[in-house]
Amino acid sequence: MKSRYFYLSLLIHSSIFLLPILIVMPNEQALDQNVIQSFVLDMDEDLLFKREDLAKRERGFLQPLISPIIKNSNLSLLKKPGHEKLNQSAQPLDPHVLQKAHAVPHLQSGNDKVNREILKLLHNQIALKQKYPDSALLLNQSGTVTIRFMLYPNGDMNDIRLSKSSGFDILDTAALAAVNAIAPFHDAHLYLQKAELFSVNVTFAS
Amino acid sequence: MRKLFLFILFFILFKNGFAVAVTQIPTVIVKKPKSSTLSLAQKHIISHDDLIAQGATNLASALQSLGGVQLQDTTGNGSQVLLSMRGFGSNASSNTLLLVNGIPITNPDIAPPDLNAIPIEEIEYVEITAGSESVLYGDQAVGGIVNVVTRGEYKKDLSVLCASGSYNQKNCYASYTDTYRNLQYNVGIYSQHSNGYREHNDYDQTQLAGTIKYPYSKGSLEFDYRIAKETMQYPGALTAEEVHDDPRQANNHTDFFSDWNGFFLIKQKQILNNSWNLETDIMQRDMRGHGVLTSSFTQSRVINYIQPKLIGTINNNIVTSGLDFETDGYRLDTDFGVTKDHLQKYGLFGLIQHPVNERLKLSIGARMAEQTSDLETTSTFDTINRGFASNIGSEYWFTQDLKFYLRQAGSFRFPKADENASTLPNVHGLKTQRGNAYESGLEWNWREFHTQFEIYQLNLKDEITFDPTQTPEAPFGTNRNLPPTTRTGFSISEKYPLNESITLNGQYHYVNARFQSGVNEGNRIPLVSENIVNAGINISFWAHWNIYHEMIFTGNQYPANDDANIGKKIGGYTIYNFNIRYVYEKFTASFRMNNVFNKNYFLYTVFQPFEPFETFYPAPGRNFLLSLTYQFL
Repeated sequence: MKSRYFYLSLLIHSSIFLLPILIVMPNEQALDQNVIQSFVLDMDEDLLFKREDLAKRERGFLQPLISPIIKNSNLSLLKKPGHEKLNQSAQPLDPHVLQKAHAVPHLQSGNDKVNREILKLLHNQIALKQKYPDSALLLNQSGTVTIRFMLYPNGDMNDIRLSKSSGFDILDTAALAAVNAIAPFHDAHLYLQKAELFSVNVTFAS
Repeated sequence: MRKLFLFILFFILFKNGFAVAVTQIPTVIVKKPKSSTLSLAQKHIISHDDLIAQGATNLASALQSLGGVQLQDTTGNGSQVLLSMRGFGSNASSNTLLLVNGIPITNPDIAPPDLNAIPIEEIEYVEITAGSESVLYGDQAVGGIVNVVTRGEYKKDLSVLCASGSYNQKNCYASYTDTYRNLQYNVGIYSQHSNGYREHNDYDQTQLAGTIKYPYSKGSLEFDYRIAKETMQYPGALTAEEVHDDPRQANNHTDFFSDWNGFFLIKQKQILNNSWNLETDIMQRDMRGHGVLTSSFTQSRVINYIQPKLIGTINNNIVTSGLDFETDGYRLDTDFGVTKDHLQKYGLFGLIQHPVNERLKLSIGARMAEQTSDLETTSTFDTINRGFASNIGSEYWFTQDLKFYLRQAGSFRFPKADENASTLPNVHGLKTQRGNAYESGLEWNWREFHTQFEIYQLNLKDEITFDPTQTPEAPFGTNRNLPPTTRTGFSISEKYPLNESITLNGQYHYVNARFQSGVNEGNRIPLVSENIVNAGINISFWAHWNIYHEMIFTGNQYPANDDANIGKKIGGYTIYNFNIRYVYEKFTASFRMNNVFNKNYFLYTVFQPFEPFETFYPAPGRNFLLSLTYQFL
C-alpha cells in the first residue's frame, strides 16, 4: 500500500541519518588525543606548581602512551575548527617558567583589600561573559576548565591559555572565549603596578 | 664560605627575580540551565522549588496555576484531565503532548495521559513549550508540549511524606535513594486516597516506582519502572437544578474504572566521541482496566516505543537526527461490541542549528512520519496516514539577557483508534491533521527576573474533532476533519522579585479560537477560554516560614458540544489558593487551602444539542491539605 515516494523518502532519510555516523568515525582518534592532551596539561600544571615528582610520574606513565598517538595522528587536532586556541594553549609551557615558576597565593601589591577587589572584579566579569554552551547542554557535558592569563596594568591580557582541560573541547573553548571576552580589562591600572599572572577555574556544573 | 654566600645570593635571586606569581581568581560556576531542548519555541520552567512553594498537590493544578494551561477535568481527581494550550476544546488532549523525561506519552485512543502517574515529589522541573514542535516530537505536538523531568540526583536520601485533608484525603510517599559502587538507584512508594468532593467520587492510587542507573566512562544506562493500580468512581454530570439542590450529589452510584498501569523505560546514552552522543530510548507502557459507564466494559492498551537519536556538533552546528518506531495495541469491549486496533507509527527526523555569529542563531528541521492502522469495529478497515512537518526559525540576542525569536513550525496529528471507529458511514479513516504555526516573541532573563512575550498564529487543515451533530446515521455524533481553522493569540509572562523575601509572578494568555468556515463560521470553539490570567506572590519570613498566595482567572467559555454557540456561556470565574510552609532542618510542614472563598464553578460542562440544557461537573468548594515531610538522611 506504500507508494514509491515513501520508499524513496525512507532511503534518502536513512542516508541522512547514517551520514553523521560516517562523519563521527574518523574523529575517534581525535578523542584519544584530547584525553592525552588533558593529561599533558595536568603534567604542565604540576610542573608549574613545583610538583615535579607528580609530573615526572605522569610523564613516565604517559610517555609510552602519548608517543605513538602523537606520531600517528600527525596533529589532527589542528584541523578541527575552533581548536587553534586549544592547541596554542596545549603547547609546552616556556621551559624557563617550567623550571622557575612557583605559585604565590596573593598579589604582590600586598594590600589584601585591593587584591580581593580585583579578584572579585575579574570573577564577576568572567561570570558575566560565561554561558553554558548549547551543544554541551545537549551532550550532557560538565567539568572544570582552568585558564591562565597575564594581565598588564594597561588592561591588556596576554598569554591566555588552557592550563587544565575539562576533557570536553566545547567547554574548554567556551571558557577560553569568556576569558578572552573580558579583554582589555581597563580597571587593571587601579590595582596593578606590573604584569601579573592569574588563574581561574570555570566549573560547568551538571 | 664563599660558596655558601654565592648559593644564598643565587637562591634570593631565584626566589625574587625570576619567580612567576599565579593568583587564583575565585571559581566561576556556570549552572546548567533547566531547559536543554533544541526547540527555539518559548519555554516556561516550573521548578521543584516553585512546586513546593506553591504547595502543589498534583501536576494538573500546578500546570494551571504556574503554567497558564487551561484544564478540563471530568473526575475532579486530576488524573484524567484535558490540557489545553493555544485554544483547543474537547480535542485538547490530542493536541497537547505530554513528555516524561523527553519520552512522548501518547495513547492510541483519545483518553488523556494520566497526570497523577508522577507524584509531585519526584518532579525536578516541568518545561512547558508553547507552540508546535512536531519535528522533534512528532504526533500531537500541536498546541504545546509539557515535559515532566523527574529528579536525577542520586544523593543518599530517605524521605517520607504524609498528608491528610478534606474529603478524607490521605497521601503517603516514601522514597529511598542510594549508590552501591557505581550503581545508582532510587525506589519510591506512593499511595493516595480521597473520597472526593462529590458522592461516589472515591479515588485510590497505589504505585511503586524506581530507577536504576549505571554510569560508565563512555555513557550511562538507565532503567525506569513504574507500576500503578488506580480506581476511580465517576459521579457523572448534574443538571442545573441538581447543582442548585446539592452540587455534591452523584447522578449514579455504579460508574467506575479500575486499572493496572505499567511503565518500563531503558535509556542508554553512549558517548561516541567528544562531539557526538548516541541516545536510545526503549519504552513499554501497558494498561489493563475494567469498569462501568452505564454498562460494563473492559479496556486495554499496550504501547512499545523505540527511538535511537544522534546528537552532536559539526563545525559549531548542533545537529540531531533520529528515527522512532511505535506499535500500539488497543482493545475496548462493551455491550455494544468490540473495538480493536493495531497501530504502527514510524518517524524520521533531523534538525540543525547554525550559529551565524554570537548573536544570531538559525534553525531548520524536518520530520516525516507514517501511521498504519488495522481497525476492527462494526466493520474492518486498514488505513495509512502520513505526516510531514518542517520548521525554520531564528533567534537573535540583543544583549546577553534579551532574546528575540521568529519561527515557523509545522505539526501533525494522526487520528486515534476510537476517532476512526466513529465516523460518518462513507468515511473510512480520517485524514491526518496538518498545521503550521508562526510564532514570534521576546524573552528577557536577568538574574531572577524573567519576562516573556509571545504572539502567534496557528493554521490547521483537517483538524480532527468530535462533531456532536446527531443524524439518523450517526445518532451519537461523529468524528470528522474540519475545514481550515485558525487560532491567533498572545501571552505575557513575568517573574519579578521585589526583594530577597518577596517574589511576584503572573501570566496572561489570550487566544482567539473560532470556526473559520461551515455552518459554525465565526463561532467560538467550545471549552476554550479567550482569557486566562494567573498571578502569585511568594513571601519568605522569619527564616523558616513561607507563604504563597495565588489567583487564577479562567474566562468564559461555551460548554462542550455547543459548536453553534446557542447555549449559555459558562464563567468566567476566579479562584484563590493559599499555602503556608514551615521548614526546619529536615522537617517540612505545609498547609494548603484551595478555593479560599468557596467559589462555585465547574470543572467541565456539556451542552445537550436536542435537550436545550447543559450538564455540569461541579468543582470542589473550599478544601485543605496538611502535608508533613521528614528527610531521615
